[in-house]
Amino acid sequence: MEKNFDVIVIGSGHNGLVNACYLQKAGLNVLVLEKNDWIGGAAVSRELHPGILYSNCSYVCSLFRPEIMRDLELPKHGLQIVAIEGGTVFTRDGDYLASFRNYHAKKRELERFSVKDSESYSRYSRDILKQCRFIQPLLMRTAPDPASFKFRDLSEMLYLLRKVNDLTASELADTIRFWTMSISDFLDEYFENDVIKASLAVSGIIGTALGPMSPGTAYVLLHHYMGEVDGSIGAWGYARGGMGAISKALTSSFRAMGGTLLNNSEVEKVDIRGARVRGVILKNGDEYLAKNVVSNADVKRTFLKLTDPEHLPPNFIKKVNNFKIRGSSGKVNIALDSMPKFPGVSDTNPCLKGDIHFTDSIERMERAYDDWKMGTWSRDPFLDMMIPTLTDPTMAPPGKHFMSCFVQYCPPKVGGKNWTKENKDAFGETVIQQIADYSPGFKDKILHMEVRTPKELEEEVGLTEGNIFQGELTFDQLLFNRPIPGYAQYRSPIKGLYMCGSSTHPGGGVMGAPGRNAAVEILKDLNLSGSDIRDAYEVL
Amino acid sequence: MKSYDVIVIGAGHNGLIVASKLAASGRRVLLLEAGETYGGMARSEVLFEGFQAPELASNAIGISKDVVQDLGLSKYELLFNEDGLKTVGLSIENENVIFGRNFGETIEGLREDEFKRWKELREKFFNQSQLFQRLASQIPVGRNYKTFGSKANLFLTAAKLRLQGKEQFQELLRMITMCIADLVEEELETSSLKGLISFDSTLGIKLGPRSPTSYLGLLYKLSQMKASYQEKSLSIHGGVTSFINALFKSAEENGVDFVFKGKVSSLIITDSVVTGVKLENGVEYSAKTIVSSISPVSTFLDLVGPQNLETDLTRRIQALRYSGNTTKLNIILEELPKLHSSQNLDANYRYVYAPSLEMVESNFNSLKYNELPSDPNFEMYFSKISSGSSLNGAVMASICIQNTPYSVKGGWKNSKEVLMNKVISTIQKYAPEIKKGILFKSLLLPHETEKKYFVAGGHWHHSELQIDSLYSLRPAFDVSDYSTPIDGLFICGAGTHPGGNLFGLSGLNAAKKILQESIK
Repeated sequence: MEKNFDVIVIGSGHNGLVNACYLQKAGLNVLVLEKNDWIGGAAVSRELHPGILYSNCSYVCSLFRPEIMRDLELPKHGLQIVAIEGGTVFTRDGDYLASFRNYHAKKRELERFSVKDSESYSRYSRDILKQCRFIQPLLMRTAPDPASFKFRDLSEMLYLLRKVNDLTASELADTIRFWTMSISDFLDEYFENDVIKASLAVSGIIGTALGPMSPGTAYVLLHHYMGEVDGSIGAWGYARGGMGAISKALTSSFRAMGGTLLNNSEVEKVDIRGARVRGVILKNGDEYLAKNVVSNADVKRTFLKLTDPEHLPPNFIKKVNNFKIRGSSGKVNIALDSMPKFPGVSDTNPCLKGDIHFTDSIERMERAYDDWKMGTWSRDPFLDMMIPTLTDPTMAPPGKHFMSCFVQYCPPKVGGKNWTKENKDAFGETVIQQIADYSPGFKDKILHMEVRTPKELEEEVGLTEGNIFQGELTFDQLLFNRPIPGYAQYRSPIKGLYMCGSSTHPGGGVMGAPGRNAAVEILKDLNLSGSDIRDAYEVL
Repeated sequence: MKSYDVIVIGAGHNGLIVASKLAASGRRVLLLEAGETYGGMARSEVLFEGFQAPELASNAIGISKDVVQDLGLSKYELLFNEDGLKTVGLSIENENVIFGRNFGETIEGLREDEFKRWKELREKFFNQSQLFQRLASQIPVGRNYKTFGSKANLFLTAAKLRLQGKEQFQELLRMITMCIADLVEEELETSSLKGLISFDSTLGIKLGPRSPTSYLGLLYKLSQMKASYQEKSLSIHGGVTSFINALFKSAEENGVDFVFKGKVSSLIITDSVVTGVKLENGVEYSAKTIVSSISPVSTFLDLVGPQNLETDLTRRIQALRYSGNTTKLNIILEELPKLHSSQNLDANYRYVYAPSLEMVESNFNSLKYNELPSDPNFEMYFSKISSGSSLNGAVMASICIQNTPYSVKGGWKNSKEVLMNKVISTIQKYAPEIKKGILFKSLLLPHETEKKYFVAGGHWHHSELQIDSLYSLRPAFDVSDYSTPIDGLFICGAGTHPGGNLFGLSGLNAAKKILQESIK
């Protein structure tokens, strides 16, 4: 087999694949190396129980950029996104708050809990939409380095300033406050009912190592709100065939363009000679050569494990070490013999087709976070559950179901020590017990289940400390600070070594933007035109 | 109806500064105060048996240099300690760290390599605090932000920071929104040192050391220290009182009229123009300019009233978070307590009980759910009583307790005594004999502060000093430049930029703004 390539991409996560596709499309000869025998990193569908497909890591698709879908012709390669119908929060007193895609149905349901809040909801939606509009174009642009005097950084800064200048005084004030507030304080300005607030606060905390009362979480809400299925902001979708369908479509697109992808090829080291990349060396001793290497691994893995420290400035290594990447969530994936019963809601109610929660107050969410801060999993965890098989029949035989439970909070280490089997079982039991409290007979329906703590995420997928965003989404690690000040433009201190994972701007979620943006920068360095890669704001 | 050029509402330090400064410019000024005397939350009260001292404010840190110079206060007797106060960070194992003056210039009880890292970190802290220092004396960019001047001002500030060097600028942009816990954990190991810094960063603010942006609390404090009249000194009671008295004398000499027990009930507003005030006792005064130094919530929602405001502004003011979260405990002791420690400790220190970052965080957790902190953190100053009262020779301990909720689950009636006992038994661990020597003690909770000192929520800063309410967002964008949509009405209290402690720049900046406006 050929050993010489123009570009080697380490890791076949969705960002790695997106990156590889764009580079291959621009005429380069690209090799993607994946350590596992499956493709897709954390966007996978795996048959862990006969006949039932599991989206066992990421479980919902909302952020994936439509521009990328169009550029890479993913629908042609089999990708289909189905919008999610609704969602529901079960309360402790046996009631539930449903949400529906239909605006009026949603408002009617809110009215049942609070007439005032139902009225505020319009104002709330409008304000969120404004913030989404403001930030969306920034996602698909490389962040400028504010400390640099280079022309492109200055002109990009100017673009940002102009965008800010376009706002009215009052909008600007709202924007700054929105970016800095806690989701709890933010919702307090609109709503009075605790269940409603809890149901809306969800998006502010998913995947973050923060509680709803921590400043900065209102911004995270936006990160989940920018989903764009069918062009409607805030709508979430399932990939038909599970999250692996995204990776599958990307792979198919990549191979159709002539790219090479190798499984079971774990990279041991990036080969660096004289401050320049020469290629990579695999665990099995194989060597592949390329002048450019792009790492889809997180910044810690890339620079602390795959690169010899002697090639990096000590100051840079220190900053990589200080990068915050604490895992905060776990997952319990369950195969079910039949649809679980929730008293008061019929099986066919569309609200069950979306995210199901049991956490009915901000205080319960925040307390769940307090447990994590003290180094243990939440005793009363916050669950974000989905039953995608209600919407997508291709994932399980008729009548059977796959249920994905995203669990927050779950620490990378328990009380400073590594996870043990007992810990893991106890964690799984906590989650199952909570579901069983709300759904009688639930335990009897379980055919198979898989418990995933940050430890499993790190070992299998390679996410350091099991952080699903490859680094926390706090201000000190966003925009030009992501991952490290001065290196926010996908380049590294080593010539030819790039990053394209979620550790880079604009961060986590199955979005694909980091992979695409990195490709733009690489093509710039190679003096190749990526003219068919359009700026996001032109599309809008 | 008596008529003046200017009426100032509230005789706290900011009100006194505005009144004095405007009177000095030749205006006829009336200062209205709801309480019996001047000084606001820094005023002296008769505490025990004729002994007078400030009940709330315990230190005179961060009185702005500009205020002292502008009003010429140095001709009055200002009492400052010549030597800076050192801080003892009490630890559980009795290996306390002793923080040298100027926020840890030296630290006793720290290993050499850790001290080296601390020195670098401290330098960064002070360096970055210059941002606040620079902004503190500016009138924030407000409704008029589209004007060239205000933009240029911000641009210059950014440019000056950038010129300090690329590395420093990048560190500033990274660190500024971080939580203090991550920052200290990056560099330090000693538990009591991390606890002390966490405490100092979050005292008076509803944030824990692990909350993002809690580092801003520290920057804020350091910038005040740097901009203060005597950089190196903190002074206990005498300092506070001498400052307040100096302000009063200055106002009096400039010809300000005072009315005490004159609580304003409403402003007289017609067609968005204010023409005077109405007191609770029915008396009315008229003036073209009214300056309110009381909290923004009271000013806009009580005195102005939503009927005179745009809904947008009303909504923003309603959204202010202003529940106080600090409690004051004053104890009179027969003599200086003997501290059980191998180190030679005495009354000339500030003592901080925050042995670990985790403890500060867990007490903040309690605050979030309106519960009593399980092992409260606090700072404590001692001062010898030398006044002519019968307590001559005794010692007063002023204790400021962190993370105490405005309203506690189950009500304060039962919890007040519990809180006081918790703190006293903690002190007892370090000073075993203390209980025997207690002559008097009294606890002032946030809701009691609210009532006694006429401050909404009993919040020391009038509203939360957090990232979403600083500079142009303090107290709300439309009113951040001290002027309001009501013609003739200005605000100047701690709820405005830059607010906080005894800084006094809110008042000084507001006075400057009013003088500017009248030239136009």
